[in-house]
Amino acid sequence: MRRNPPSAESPRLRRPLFQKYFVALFAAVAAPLLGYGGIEAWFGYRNYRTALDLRLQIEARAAAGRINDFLLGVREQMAWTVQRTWTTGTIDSHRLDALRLLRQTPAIAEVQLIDGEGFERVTVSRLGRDIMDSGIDRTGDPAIQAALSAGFWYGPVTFQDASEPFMQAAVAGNRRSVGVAVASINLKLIGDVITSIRVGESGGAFVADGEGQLIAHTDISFVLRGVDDQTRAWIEALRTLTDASAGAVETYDPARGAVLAASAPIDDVGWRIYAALPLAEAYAPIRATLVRTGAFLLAGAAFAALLALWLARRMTIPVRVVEQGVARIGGGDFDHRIRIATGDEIERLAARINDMAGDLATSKDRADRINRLKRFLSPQVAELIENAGTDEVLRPKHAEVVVVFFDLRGFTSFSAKADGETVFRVVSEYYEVLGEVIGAFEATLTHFSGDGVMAILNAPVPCTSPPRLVAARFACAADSAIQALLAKWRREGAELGFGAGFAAGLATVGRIGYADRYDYTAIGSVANLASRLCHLAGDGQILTDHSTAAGLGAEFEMTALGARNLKGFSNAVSVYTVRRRKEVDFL
Amino acid sequence: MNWSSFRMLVASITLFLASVQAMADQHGILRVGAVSLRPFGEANISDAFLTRLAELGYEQGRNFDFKFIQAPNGGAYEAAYRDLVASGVDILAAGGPEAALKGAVAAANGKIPIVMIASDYDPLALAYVASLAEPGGNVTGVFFRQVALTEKRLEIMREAFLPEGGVTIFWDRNSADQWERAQGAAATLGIPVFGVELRDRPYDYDIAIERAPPEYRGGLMVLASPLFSLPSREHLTEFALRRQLPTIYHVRFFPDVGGLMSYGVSFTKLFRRAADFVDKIAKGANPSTLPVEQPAQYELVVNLRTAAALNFEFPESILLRADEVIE
Repeated sequence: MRRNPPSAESPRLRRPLFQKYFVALFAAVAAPLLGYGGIEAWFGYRNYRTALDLRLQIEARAAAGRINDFLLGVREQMAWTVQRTWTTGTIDSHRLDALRLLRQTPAIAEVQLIDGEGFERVTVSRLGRDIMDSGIDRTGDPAIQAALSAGFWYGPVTFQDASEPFMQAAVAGNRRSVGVAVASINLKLIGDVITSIRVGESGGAFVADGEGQLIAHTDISFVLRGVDDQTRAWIEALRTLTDASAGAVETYDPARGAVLAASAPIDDVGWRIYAALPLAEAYAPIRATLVRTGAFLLAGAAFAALLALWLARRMTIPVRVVEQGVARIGGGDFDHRIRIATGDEIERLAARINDMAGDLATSKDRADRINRLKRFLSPQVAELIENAGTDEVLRPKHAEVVVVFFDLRGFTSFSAKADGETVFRVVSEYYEVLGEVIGAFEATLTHFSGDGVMAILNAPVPCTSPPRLVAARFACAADSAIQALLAKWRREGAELGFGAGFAAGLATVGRIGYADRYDYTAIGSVANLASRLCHLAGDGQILTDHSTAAGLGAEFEMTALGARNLKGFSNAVSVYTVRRRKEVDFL
Repeated sequence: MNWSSFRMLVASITLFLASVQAMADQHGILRVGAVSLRPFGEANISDAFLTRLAELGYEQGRNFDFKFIQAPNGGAYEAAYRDLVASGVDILAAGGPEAALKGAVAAANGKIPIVMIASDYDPLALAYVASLAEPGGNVTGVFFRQVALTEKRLEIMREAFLPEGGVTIFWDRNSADQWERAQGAAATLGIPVFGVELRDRPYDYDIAIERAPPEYRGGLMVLASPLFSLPSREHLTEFALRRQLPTIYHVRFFPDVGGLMSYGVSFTKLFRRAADFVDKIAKGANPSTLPVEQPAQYELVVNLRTAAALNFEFPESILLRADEVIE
């Protein structure tokens, strides 16, 4: 009988091989890939960020340079107005110098020329009144003093109308007699410089002074809002942030939102310029790279998963085939052969299992045969044959055997009188006792019918003692065992007797029968003789013939009953009763 | 769901999508309205302003609709702006005299942003804006101190040519502030001035000059008002040349057409800047926090041909100062 496919009833695996292989293979491929990709991405980001910092710092320094150039340009133009010595009558030429300065320098809204004595002599303005010789003494003006000692001076940034950024600047000449020029600079004009500074696509620059005031921005509107607390807080926080950091910092820009900004100082005025790049743009390339890397890793992981899947399947499918094959073979289908051509250890394993299945089939055949043998062989004999692994011994042959017959006396009339149940109980008890004796003497039970039993000694397994001696002992043992049983039956009202006959001689022994119905038996005159002798024997009598009795020796007491004519024998046969001399228990 | 309700659903989705599309289209078009006393094409607004908007990507008919109304007189500004508001403009532009802004403010009723080009008046002094840094309302834009410039103009005029008797000043309703300031400045500078107010349009300058005493006819200053450009600027410059009157104007458009000289702001830059304001507001900037801007530069333009025609020579200090010399 074949089992169902094993998968249907196999217990659920706690950790299937497929899963293990898959995990291991996936890990083997994906882990280095992900690890490498991750490290690459991290270093890529670091390098990019460093490069970005550097770039923004360069931008900031370049922008600072341009603002410095602007301020320097204003200063240089102002320097032209402090070259002439102030003497009487030179005021007109000084005035022309001042006008020329306004002409040359659009950022200057107004200029005042102070003479060597510190008096205000010329005021020229784009919008306000021009004033000559106002006579105001400016000697105490810190701007004049600073310009005279340092050559130039920059004032703080002020917001005119609380909106427009202005700054005073003073420039002194190379000698005191040429005086000092003080100019009011409209810082909105820095806007032209700032607007021209582009950082990336959407980035730009802005300038803040030391007071936290925004003084220049790509979008002038943020400057024109003047001094407000929000801007100041932002600028001051930004300054602290940039002071603390070597590179660029993330901040926000009112016009651009979140930005990455690097700063550079504009030393002469104590300002700071910030080059700001919106984060979105700043990180766009690295984001693209990261996305690419991510996609690559994902694709790699997917590929690894597919590879692992394929390999795991490849590795587990033969195992499954082997499992199913083994299950079928185990289920009794010994003809099943596992077909695997992987060329590896599993194929070898399958081959071994196939061999084993072949062996199993062979040994199953043998076991079946032996099981059949056990029907007529004593368990010991059957064991012997089973161990020998062959039933060669059962082949027909001529052998010197002793055939023993037993039967009950008066059984026919008893079975006619008694009810079936009692008859069967009696017969069962009879065979039970007799079977024990047969087993004990390793006799071969050839057949039984009703109360008659035939057994052979010395075939198929040879006896260790002389066979006729064993047969005599066997018959005596059976008789004494059955006599006890007979006594019991008599008490129960069953009048029965027990007789036995045995004869030694050559006979043909072997298996006879057809298909699965085999018997082991002995054929020959010795079997007839034993049967006749048994028939002849009365209750408690064990009969044998002359030639058999001859070899029994002193152990037994034999009484000749004389020659008797037996059916099927042309000559009369000398019959003897056999009896044990001593009560020796051979069992 | 049965078939008819499914069809209803599809129909309403289609309708919804269509209305969203319509709203987007409507939203995608910027409508700007402006009013001028001068016809379109001659008005300041029609050149630099629109050019700049075109540079910023506003294309008439595609994403931009410029509505222009010519007002017959200063009193008609408000009605014209109301018409613009009724036609659904997004932003009003108010250039020139105070009357324009006044009309626009009345028409907008605080709801529509107004970009002013306050050339002839002081919007801060007149409280159209709370402060330059934070206008605080729906009005912002560009502004320059025309009134203060009047004083500066007198000073430059004195430096360029000092008439023996004094100068005549033409003023009108639109430039009354300037006239007031000019009188004070003239006193400070020690220049005798005689003001002639022009009222009836078109201005008859020959009659006006006759109203000034002869000793004041040595020079002429024309204050800033759009009406002096009507019907054309040549009217004024030709008159000045004919009457041999050295004249100073507030804007270079006059020396460009034969006027002697001008000192003032570049209207081109001013109107371009105003266009930037329109752009910023269109992109979501709030006019109340968008600071009012002032020009940082003023230009002195002199016409040497006119000077020669007047048998007149500019002193060196003026030529030095001049940003442009027309030869």
